[in-house]
Amino acid sequence: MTSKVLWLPVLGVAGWLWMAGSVAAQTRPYIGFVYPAGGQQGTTFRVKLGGQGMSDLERVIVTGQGVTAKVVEYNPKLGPQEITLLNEQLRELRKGKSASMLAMASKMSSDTMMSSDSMMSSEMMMSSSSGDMMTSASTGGKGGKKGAANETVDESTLRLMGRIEKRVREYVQRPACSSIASLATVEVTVDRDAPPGEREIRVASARGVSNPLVFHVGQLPEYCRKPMVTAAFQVLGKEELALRKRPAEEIEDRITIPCVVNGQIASGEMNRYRFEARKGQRLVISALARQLIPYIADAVPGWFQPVLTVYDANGKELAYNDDYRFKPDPTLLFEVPKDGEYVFAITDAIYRGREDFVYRVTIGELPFVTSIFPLGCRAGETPKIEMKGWNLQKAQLAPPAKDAKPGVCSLVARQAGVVSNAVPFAIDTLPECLDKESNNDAARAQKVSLPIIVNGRIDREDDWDVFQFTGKANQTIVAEVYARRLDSPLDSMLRVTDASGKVLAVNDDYEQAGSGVNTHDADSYLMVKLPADGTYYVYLSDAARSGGEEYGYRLRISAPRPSFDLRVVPSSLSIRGKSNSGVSVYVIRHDGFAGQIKLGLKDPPAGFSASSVTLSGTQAVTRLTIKTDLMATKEPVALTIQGVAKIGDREVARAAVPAEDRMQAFLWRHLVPVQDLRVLVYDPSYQPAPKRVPVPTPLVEKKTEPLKPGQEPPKAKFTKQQVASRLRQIELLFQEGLLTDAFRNEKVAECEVAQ
Amino acid sequence: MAMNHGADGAGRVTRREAVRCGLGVAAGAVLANGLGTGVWAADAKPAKKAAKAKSVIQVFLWGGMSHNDTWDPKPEAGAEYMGEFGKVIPTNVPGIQLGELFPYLAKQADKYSLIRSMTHRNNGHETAAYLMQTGHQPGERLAYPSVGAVFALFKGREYKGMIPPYVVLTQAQGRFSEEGFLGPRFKPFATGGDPNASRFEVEGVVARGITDDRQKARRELLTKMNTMGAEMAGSSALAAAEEAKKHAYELILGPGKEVFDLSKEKPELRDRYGRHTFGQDCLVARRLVETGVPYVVINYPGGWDTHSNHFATMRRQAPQLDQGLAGLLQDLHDRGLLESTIVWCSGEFGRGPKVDWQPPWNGGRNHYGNVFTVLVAGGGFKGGSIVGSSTEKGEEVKDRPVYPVDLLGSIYQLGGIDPHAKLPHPMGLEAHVLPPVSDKVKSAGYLTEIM
Repeated sequence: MTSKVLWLPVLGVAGWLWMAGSVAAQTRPYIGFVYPAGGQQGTTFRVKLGGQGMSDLERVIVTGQGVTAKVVEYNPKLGPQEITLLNEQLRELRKGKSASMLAMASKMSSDTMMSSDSMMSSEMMMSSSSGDMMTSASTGGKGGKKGAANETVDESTLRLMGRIEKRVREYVQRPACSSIASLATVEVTVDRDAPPGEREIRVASARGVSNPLVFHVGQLPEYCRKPMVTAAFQVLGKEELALRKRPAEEIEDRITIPCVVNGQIASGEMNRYRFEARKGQRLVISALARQLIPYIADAVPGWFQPVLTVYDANGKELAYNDDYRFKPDPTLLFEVPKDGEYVFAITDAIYRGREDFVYRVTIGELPFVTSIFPLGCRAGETPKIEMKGWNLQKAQLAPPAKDAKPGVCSLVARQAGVVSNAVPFAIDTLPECLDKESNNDAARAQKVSLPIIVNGRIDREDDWDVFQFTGKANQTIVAEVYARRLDSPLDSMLRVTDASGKVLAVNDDYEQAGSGVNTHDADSYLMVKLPADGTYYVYLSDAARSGGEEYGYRLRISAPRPSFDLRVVPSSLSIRGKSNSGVSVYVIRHDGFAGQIKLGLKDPPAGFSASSVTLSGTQAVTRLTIKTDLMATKEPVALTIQGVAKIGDREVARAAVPAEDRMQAFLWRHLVPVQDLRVLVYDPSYQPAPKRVPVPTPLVEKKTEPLKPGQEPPKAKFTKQQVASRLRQIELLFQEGLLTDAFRNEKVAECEVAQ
Repeated sequence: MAMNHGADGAGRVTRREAVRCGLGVAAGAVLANGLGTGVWAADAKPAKKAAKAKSVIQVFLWGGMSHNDTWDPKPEAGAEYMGEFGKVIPTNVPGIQLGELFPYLAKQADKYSLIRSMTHRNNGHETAAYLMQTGHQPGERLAYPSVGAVFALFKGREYKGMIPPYVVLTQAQGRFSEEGFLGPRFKPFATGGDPNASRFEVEGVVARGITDDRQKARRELLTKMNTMGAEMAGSSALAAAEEAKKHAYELILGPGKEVFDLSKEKPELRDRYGRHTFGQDCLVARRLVETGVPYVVINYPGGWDTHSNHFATMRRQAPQLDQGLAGLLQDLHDRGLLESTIVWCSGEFGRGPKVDWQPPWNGGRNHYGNVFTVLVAGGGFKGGSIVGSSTEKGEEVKDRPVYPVDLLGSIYQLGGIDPHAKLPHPMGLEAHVLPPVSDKVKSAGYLTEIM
């Protein structure tokens, strides 16, 4: 047992070093959280990202119009040896060892940093959040401080010390999650007219583009808690040792509604917000958490599971929500009973927490759509959509575009310019009809002629909707429910019988390979070959026998419509110049489609091509190689992969939906669709310009004892590899601006003699 | 996150502390109960056939050990699958190869067989562990006892030893109820402590910081104070309790304790097993088997749940497994005990044959129940064989699937226990050692090829 304890730090280092190798091989940076995960129109703000492989970041990409962002700084995860170096530097500075050293620190801040050619570095340093020495140097004017008073020297040294102290203080030897412990800060500017809603953010280095994470553009004032620092690993049974020590005043904040609050939940913590409200206000308090980061691989359950509670001024609980219907993210509809102060609190349902437990809660008298009906319409038709919800008195639901293509689009309502939550709306090509009550049994079944899509509702508890159609012997029909996929709480149950009531097929849940963030495939599906000419019945109900006006559905009864969808994983790719790289393409087959699918690029930009790959009728996944004859792209470019198949006598092309392969709770994997596929071509010989060029400093001479006669010269103490690793550490810290030139030169010189 | 379940701290509780928080009471009750009543398996039928195996040593690799880094290597599958462990080594049985981390076991391949086609397709720790140790489907109405508890039930009858019939070294598995509906009498006796420490502090037997003399003095004091015993002399209930107490003291102060005293072993032999907790666990297991304990579980002191930091953990842990297990097989063989002792070693599942390079794993292996490897030896199992095989990359069963009921059924058969025997349910419900084959319970037959 003792030996194990002793090993932990050592293994940590070994693991990190080993990992560093493999990460270098994969050039893709990874982001595990973005905080805050959004901001208000017309503002500029700092965003902290945690991940791994986030060195030499050059750009930030946010999808959609009206949002720009730039990298401010990045802080790679440090190891114990780097911390030792920093502590040593700190001691040197504290000692004020020699005047020359201080002078060098000053020189470094005013000359070296600013003389660097890299735009990035000067920009980065000037805007660095920690109010470091670089900022002061730049305000003082480039090179304008020669012979300045000692005061300035001290000031810059103090700032450097402050930076180092912060880095050392925030260092965690064994983070709760190492893969989110490498940090970056970016600055995001959202235009006043940037469309509100969900976007995606990525970062890119010269050699790779990260995965995307959700990022919102909001309309309300934002409140943002201080970002969390890296949380420490919790040892089983000694969890309390790793808990954050939080001052009491950070537990509760005062806010003015309406607003958006952003926070992160640490283990064991609850965040509270106190606000004033007036009697009769209909407040919507809605959290985004799982909708920001849908799956966490190393947590059970595999996402942040927030709960919301509202208390009155005396601490009496007035409202509580854990899940909003089937969604893990809670939404509370709270009617204020009297004028006064209230508090809402948010925490994880089982009090877990970590930097990637990020939330974004919207609170106010805001429009919120609880249901629409119908859930879709036929392409080209103008639907009349009925809408239910809160604060929708004057709200208008924007209908789908007239030329909307078959598929699922998302609709929002606007009330006094403020947009509501988005609700999905399906568009299809088949004829449609409405469910006509009461059709609760075969005797009262609603007659339909195929093909048809019925827009219906399981109106009340224990409601059955029964449809009757006439079929022929050996005819194959498909009955498919679209409800959960359209945000309906219905968990459908589907049954087909013949005229005598004999059950031919029954289905509760049907696994949808492309369900993405939805972990309950509640929508039923069945395919049945009819035994004889005659009358048949389709029965539809809720599996838990629930019902209500929000239990809408679309039921398709038709001959099979063979088709397919594609997913391409991952959603970003780095290719070495004039080379190639591969992605995985998954196929989702519908209604028994078993044809071949030819894959390729759709309207590729100049310089890109794909290998010729055809998916056989039984293949579920394949590799597609993307080639380029470019040496490098200036920035990541968007590519579209498509599959072409012959279905019947038509040639059908489908664009592959870019996706990320995410793991839920150590076990399950999901292909989570994202907005685009970004490809970066890089020149492998390209090295980003160093942010700092070391300035030679006079070395402090170390006395070495002359060898006594007969004495062997000392042997090299370190291997080549150890020395190289040491040099890398020194360089890393130097580039981050944490070492003075003199200290760096001294350490490098030490390495040279240690070989 | 290599989880080293329960390895920290738990063994450091003094007896006094344990009693204070109620743990010691439970442990003591189990001991006293088991010893005092002596009515194990009152309603279980005796074994029909003479059993080949008198005892079983089960090495349980909690968390699930990778199969393709260890006993089912696939060097042809490439680095994507093999990661850092691309090399294989030959064994003393021509044609059988192991992963490079098992040089000691490679010299003993004639003593064990490897089932390379174990499968249950379950990827949850608790559910898979339940499947592998009960043979029953998780999530059913009854909570079945583990194979160890079933052995305690059936074999406990003939077994007259002082130490409970079902022992776990050193920490109970804890993630499922090992005794199931059989109740607390069939709970395994978890020793606690560390056999690799200078003094192996066995829970309730060897107390921390208390010498034997002091223990005796305490007993005497307790006897003097036993006024109720004096008042109620002649009560049968009290007599039984007294009997249990006497046995318990024998265990604490008499020969029972010596079983756990590894200083009785030659240092060279202790070295051969390996001077680490697992190695010395193996040695204690042999000593327990020697005294006739029917079922011993070594719950591996460390975790195999290597989602991340997989290769480093394997480099650290696999050599200990190799040394301890090889030492055990050799020693059992040398003492003529292997004939009558089944040794089996497996986790609840294997690990993903393809290395997961995605964050947060960065080179880990995840849960994998589709196919994995189990080592079986002794007690009627032939050595030097391979049962079944997995596909080219170790992803699926290629031939001769072995399901949990096949493995456990074979172990029961060799142990002289009818795999279809009725189990005594406290409320009289119908329950059997193993479930009958059905849609959910698959079987491909007992391991007759190696029995």
